[in-house]
Amino acid sequence: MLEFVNRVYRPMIHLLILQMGGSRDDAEDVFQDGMLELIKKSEDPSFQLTSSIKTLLYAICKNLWKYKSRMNHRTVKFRPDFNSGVEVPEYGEAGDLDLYEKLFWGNFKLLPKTCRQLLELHFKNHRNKEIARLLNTTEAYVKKRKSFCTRQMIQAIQKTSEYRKLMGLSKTSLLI
Amino acid sequence: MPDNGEYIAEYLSGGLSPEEMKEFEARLATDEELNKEYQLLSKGMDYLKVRAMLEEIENDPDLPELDKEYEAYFREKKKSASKPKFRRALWRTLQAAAFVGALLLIRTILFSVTTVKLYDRFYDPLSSEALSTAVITDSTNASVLLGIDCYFLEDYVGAIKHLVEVPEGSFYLGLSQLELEQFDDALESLQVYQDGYPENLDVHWYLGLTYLRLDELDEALNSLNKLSTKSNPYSSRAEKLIGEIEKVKAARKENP
Repeated sequence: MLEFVNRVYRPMIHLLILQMGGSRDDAEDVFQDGMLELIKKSEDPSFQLTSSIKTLLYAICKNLWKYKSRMNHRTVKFRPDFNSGVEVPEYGEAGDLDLYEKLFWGNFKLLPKTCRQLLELHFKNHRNKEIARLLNTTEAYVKKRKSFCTRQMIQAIQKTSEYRKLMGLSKTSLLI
Repeated sequence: MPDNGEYIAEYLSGGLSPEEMKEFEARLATDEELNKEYQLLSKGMDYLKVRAMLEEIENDPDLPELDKEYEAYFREKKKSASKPKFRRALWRTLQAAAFVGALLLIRTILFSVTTVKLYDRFYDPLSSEALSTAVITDSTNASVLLGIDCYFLEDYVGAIKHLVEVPEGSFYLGLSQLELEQFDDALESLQVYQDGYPENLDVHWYLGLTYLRLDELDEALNSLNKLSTKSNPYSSRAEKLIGEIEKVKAARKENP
């Protein structure tokens, strides 16, 4: 359970804190403290889970970061290690985040609605069978369409000047 | 073969067969360009996954209620964590006092380091070539001669044994004590020698250095000034050292 939460939700909390102006270290601190709060909460006999765990963890971490920012100082304390060797994708700091937002999220938003719906379900780790059921179609169509939509998005990304700059490609090579 | 973008898209969307996936992964290891594009695009896809998850949560109808609950929870925590005003003021005063104390300590260390460094830069043991005939005469005590031999053979403990309590040998006694970093004893020995042989240039130089090492800057200048005014083997070194000591004095005057 902890491994799953760590693998799936740690990158999510990292991105949330980076979006709220924190650094990667801040994000890791908030995630670790947020996990402690979550465990504390689950040990409370009166606690009843009325939402999804990810929404609960999100609410804890978001408010914990606001609280930490207001306190404006950090205390070093012992924390159990929730890391378990799981890597968090590096978006870097604020500048890189803007680039990812523009390059990937921006182009994702421009995809046709059917593509967006399908890829969103894929991003949420739904299997093809489940996606087919939700979209009222066949598994084979989902598989084919998923490839098509990913290809379409990647092609759109490849055409952007930001991508070409990152890849070290010149403008003329785009025309060839 | 599809272009890199298509190939990566097929891999990322799970559109490749197990054999094709293996082939793709093998190419990643050898094709630098494909690898570079894959790194960026796969990171981007990870970003989209996380970004989509955040958007889903932000549209979760349970979120506003949870947000309120945790905002209140941490507000309460902040209140209980904040200290009474007077304790905070006391804490700040202690912090300020500790800061000032640390500054004073640093300054003391810095200045003591300056004079020690100066000493280390200018100090050299007396060379056997500088052996002054004025020191050794036919009537020189045998014990003093043995002590001087010990000094030049770098047996400073032996030198002290032979030279102690023989006023004539107090110069080499002082030099041996300097080598063993017994600075207070060295000062005493060199002063005894200076009283007996006020014209000896060596003793002014080593006395000046000893005063410097003991951070007695005015006394050091006093001894060194006796060397800088006349042309002698020490005059140029003495002038330089006087300049350095004056700098230390000026710095201390600016930052008392």
